[in-house]
Amino acid sequence: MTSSAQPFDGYLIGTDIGGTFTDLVLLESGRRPRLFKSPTTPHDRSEGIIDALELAATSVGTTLPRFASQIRYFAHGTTAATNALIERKGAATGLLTTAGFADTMLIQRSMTSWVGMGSATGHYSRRRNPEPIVGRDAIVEVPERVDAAGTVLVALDEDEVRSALRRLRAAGVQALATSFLWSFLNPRAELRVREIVEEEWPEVYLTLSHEISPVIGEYERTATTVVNSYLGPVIRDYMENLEGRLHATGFDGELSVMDSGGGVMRASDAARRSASLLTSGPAGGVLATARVADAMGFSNVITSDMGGTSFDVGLILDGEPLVERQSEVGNYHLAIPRIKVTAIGAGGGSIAWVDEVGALVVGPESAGSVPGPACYGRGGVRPTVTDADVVLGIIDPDYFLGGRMTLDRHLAEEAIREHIADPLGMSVEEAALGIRTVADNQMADLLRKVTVEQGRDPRDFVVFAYGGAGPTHACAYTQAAGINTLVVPPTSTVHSAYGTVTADRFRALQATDPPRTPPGADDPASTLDLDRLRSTLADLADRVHADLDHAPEVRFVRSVHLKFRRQTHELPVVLPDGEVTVDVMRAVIEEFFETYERIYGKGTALRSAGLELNTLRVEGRAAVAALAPSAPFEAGSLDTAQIGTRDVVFGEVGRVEVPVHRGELVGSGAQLVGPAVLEFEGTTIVVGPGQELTVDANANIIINCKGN
Amino acid sequence: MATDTSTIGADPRDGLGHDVDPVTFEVIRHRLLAITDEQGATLAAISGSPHVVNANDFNVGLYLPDGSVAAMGRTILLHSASMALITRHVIEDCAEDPGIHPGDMFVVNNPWKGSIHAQDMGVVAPIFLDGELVAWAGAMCHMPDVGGSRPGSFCNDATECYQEGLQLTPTKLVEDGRIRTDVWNLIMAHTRAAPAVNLDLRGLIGANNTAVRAMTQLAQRYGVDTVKAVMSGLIDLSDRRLRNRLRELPDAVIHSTAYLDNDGGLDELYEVDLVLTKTADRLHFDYSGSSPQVEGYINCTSAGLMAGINAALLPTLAYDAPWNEGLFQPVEVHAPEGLICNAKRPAAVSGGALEAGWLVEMTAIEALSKLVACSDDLIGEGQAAPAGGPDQFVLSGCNAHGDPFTHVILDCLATGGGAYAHRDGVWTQGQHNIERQRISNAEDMELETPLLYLERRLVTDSGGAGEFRGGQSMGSTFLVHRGTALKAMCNGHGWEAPNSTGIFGGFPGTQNIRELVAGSDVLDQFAAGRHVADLEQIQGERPTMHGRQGAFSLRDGDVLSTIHQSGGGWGDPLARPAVAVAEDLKHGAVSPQAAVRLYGAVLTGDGRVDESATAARRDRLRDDRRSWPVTAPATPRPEGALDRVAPLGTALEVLRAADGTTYTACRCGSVLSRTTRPWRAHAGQHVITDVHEVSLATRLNASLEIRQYACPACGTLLTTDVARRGAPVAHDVEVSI
Repeated sequence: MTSSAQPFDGYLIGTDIGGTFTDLVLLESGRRPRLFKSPTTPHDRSEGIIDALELAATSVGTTLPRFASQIRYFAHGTTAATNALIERKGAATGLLTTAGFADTMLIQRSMTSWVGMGSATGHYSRRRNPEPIVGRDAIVEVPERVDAAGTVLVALDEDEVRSALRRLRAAGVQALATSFLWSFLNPRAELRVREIVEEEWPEVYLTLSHEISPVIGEYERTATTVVNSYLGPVIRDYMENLEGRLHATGFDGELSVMDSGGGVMRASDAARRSASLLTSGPAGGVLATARVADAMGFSNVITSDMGGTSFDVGLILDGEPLVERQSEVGNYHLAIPRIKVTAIGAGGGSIAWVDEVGALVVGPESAGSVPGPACYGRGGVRPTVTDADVVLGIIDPDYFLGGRMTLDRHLAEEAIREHIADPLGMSVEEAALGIRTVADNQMADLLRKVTVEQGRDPRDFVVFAYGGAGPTHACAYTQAAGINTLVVPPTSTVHSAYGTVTADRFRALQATDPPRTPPGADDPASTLDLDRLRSTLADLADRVHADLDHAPEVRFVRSVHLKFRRQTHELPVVLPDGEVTVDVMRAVIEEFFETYERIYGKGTALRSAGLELNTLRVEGRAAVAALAPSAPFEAGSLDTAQIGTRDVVFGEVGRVEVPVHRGELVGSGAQLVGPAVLEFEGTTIVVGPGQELTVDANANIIINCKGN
Repeated sequence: MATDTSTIGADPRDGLGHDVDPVTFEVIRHRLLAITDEQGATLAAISGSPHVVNANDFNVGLYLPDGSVAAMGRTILLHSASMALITRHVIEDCAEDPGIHPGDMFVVNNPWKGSIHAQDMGVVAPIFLDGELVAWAGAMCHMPDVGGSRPGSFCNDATECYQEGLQLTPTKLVEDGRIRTDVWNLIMAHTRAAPAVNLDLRGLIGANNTAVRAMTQLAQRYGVDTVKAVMSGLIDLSDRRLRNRLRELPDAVIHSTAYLDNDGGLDELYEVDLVLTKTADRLHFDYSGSSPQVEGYINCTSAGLMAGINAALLPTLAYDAPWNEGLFQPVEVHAPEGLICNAKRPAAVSGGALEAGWLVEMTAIEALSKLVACSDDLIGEGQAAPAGGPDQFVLSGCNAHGDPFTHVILDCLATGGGAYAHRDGVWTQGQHNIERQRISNAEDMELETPLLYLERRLVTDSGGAGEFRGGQSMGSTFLVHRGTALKAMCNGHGWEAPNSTGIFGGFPGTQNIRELVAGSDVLDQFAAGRHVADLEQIQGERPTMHGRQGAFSLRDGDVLSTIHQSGGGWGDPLARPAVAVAEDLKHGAVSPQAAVRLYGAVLTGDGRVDESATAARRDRLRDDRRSWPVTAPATPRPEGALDRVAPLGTALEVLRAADGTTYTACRCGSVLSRTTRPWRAHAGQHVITDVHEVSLATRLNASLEIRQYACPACGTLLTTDVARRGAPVAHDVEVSI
């Protein structure tokens, strides 16, 4: 690797705790990223972080205390919030809500019987109401009422609030949520609750619905509020523990945490905005991809992360990660915008089987990591995608996870023979190829679906692949989706961790005060109250700026979400910088019409229906840790990296002898035409027959998959 | 899923029956299902109507050239059969003239041409490759209005279909890729909700465009024959799965009757009557005992009849099979034209899907549940009746912004589920025939309509009592607020007849209840700082409400309260563990009064369940039942050992004597009768005419009664039936072992 002429200015660390491994990326001015993995320590996950830091310290030839004292920035992604919600291990939470609406969280807009059932919703006998995160006895109705115009019809009964607080406190509640109807229009009652809480019970954790999720729709807003309080104390403890551990090692730098909305937040904000930590791991991978893709000049990207049990897909459209305004986690529906990641149960552990019409089916059942694929030799007897990869010669059984684990090819063959090859009258090799083909096409279907849903053509996209199994299958699923270009970034095995350390500080705020234009208006923009729009936007920008410590370099993006009246689907349109005039709004509305027709087809925009400008949103971003660019990746050919050959079976050409390269030894500018295999410590990249691989100056591996 | 393969006898190599290899088959199968997802996403995106996006009242799919459903979206179950019917009518009526060509699409919303009612509008598109018909794509959804005498097109005053709005027979809507403006304008001219219908119709076309594009690519890549072969293979797979399941069950004849209370002005009670015969791997549904068609709008056509049967069948027996034509192949239906559930023209049918058609589904659910309850392996798929039919609420007038509107209020969908043998019914499960249901947020309703919710709550005591309790429905209480010229339309059955019946001793869930307080004092109470929702605390005029209320005016300040039918209970309520009753009390699922009256609980002074006193009281209550009169003499216990051969629900079972005779017996060991005879005649009978003894309701129809039967030996409650007064003793299940 290149040595650096840059003066040393400290280390930047990115970390992400996964189910099996704790990943760490070490960045340093003028040097290439260095990657580390250490086993996750479920009893206290901060231990795994310290273990990974030890590995990093050793690799730079120093002690942990000395290394830690030289870290100027530490970014962290964690599943702590997701785990606590799914396992129902949050704080005992109480809810104050509008009289008459105590059951909103139980009714869940009548989605309560099928939420979380995935594709099994048709099996009615298995329906269940989810385990509530706030018990019915901890939900208190408070007399107060505001109508849809924001007018107060019933004043807040403050005595009831006080007595409710005393009852909940006595019942052992540790966190409070308050969600009143129409609070996003008129927040006074919620704000008054905070004042009363400050008098009565100042130490309790409190979330107000109009602050965490100022959007119309009381169920999702209330769920978001309750989840934030439910997780708040857990995240507070988690962050205190992590910070304590890090400081004990000598770390004195800045600490950030991944926000699944699109960047990082200060560690000190994490407890207050705990719901934003949900599913931040996959968001980190998408953000990392956005950064790498931007540097490479790609603006439309499908991100694909294939692990042991799931295949996660995200989108980057015109340079920006696709954000969903509502999402489902832990059997609740949350209304905080998050980077959208769609998952299906397709991973290395997905089980292959033959159904009663004799079709070869893969998944959705997974062998997980215990017992795992048959080739793990841990008692799994049913064939998986990883078993097929071993049988086909794609994965070297002796170099799995860099040789840390040895796989048993014979067990893989036996599992495939018994469950697939014999029942279908095929050879084991044909059956293994079949498993791979079915799995790869399923994943290609998902790539198509996520793009088609956005009105896009998958052929206009570039695929990024990461995660342990992603690069092993990407050459096939990219091609099957009709896409040419595949990129495997050098950080692919720790991509979420890389995302945490390279992401900007991020804060987004929104307001819902739906101005509507009348049906049939010729010039809808002229009917808008622009003063009100301007002042709302200015207020949002001020608050975003304050949350980003008034950093001078904050980049603002203002957007307005429009929809046709009586419709549910919103599209965001970015406002240009500068004053919002009627001409600006005319252009915005015109852009909405055009985007709408691009996504849903010509003639689908019904201009005469009238418009709702449902949400105004301001995002702010500020770079966190400047890093001098690394020196170019050392040039090199593939010859020096080749470590041998082995037989690999491909659908197109059958069994062929292919060159095997040690991935870490491949230099920039290298080129080859497949078939070939590149083995890295954490993954294996496959290049299909006729596909062309090149390595760029930043060590990205680019494969022309010949999909079109 | 995977585990099922071990139980299948057939050699899977015989399975595909086509020259498609197992890998290509699976790749195409997955792609077909992905295409229906894309269709659904396109329709939902464009339409945006509450029916489509929230109630999922739409369907999409891919059909073979003859109209057979190969793949369908997982949306509303009622439409599973309807799209095949629509496609077949298009082929029949249009193939010669005006012809079926590439780039065409056809629209249908005629109840005698496949639509369940005229609001359900379907658009189908042929998919051609090189001049060969590869398949059809289709999409349909419930339109908010297609004209007729009433906003929303539920024409409760209609006596003939001619009064029920636009009913298009197969009509070419898109020709060579271009929308026919003349047809488009014709449709828009017939609806009160043209902007919304416009979007919905564009959504249907958009969904088909998505499918046509994707299917054409698929056929280009793999060949037309291969794609067709996989579509047929999918149908075979489902056919096989259903037949295999049916073979696991004993042969049986099962009888189920549901009562439809009045059709408007007439105070009549009608019946939907099913005799289900299960033989080997086939099901025969005989509805010929149902009432003749009637003058009012509650009839359904054969499309509604098939819809009701399928909606019951799919989640009960075909929960793990792809939903397509294959599931209809083992099913035969007998119902002569002219019945309330197979009406012929010119019957009024606009309410049929929610009336006679709904009760087709309820009888089929009950019969299929009693069928699976004859198997220890499959009893877990049986259930007490879910919600027996909605009380619709359509509001029109001007909202707070002065805009005219028509809004179908969908709170009636948030109903409780029926109880199962192993669990309580799910609260706000939603209607059984909607797989994935959503209702609007209250805030969205308040933004769009001049209604302000005083409350939206899970209704205490709404779930039918039982060892396992029915799920609770949502109740809504609205204050009319800032509207003008408001007309409400409320209609529903289940007002005088319990349709959400319990099973195996369980009680019915609540009936539909609606109350109006006109000119209420709510705003005065608000001004005084009091929030009220309980009708007892609200002053005002209380006009009598009827099930089929029809149209009535609403004014600011009026309060309307609605409770919707809710799932029935499973098993004897006295068998519900005291700890479960205590939980019910804690969560407000059951009131203290009901805990005492229905569940035999004894409460302490501070309202807790006294477990030992409850056990003692329940023993006394069972003792009381043992003295209920028995109409036929006791059946002597046969000589020798009796072998248990099958369950009959959870309280009864079938025993076989050494001579092969089979008997119906209580689990306590007491033999009631031969299986060929009605066991009820040998059980203690108790007749109830005050419905409030068993559930929430306004009243019970004067020609109905509730009959309970208990084991004369142990006092276990074996069934809670709804029957016509004077009707002979029921014989509901006859198993042949």
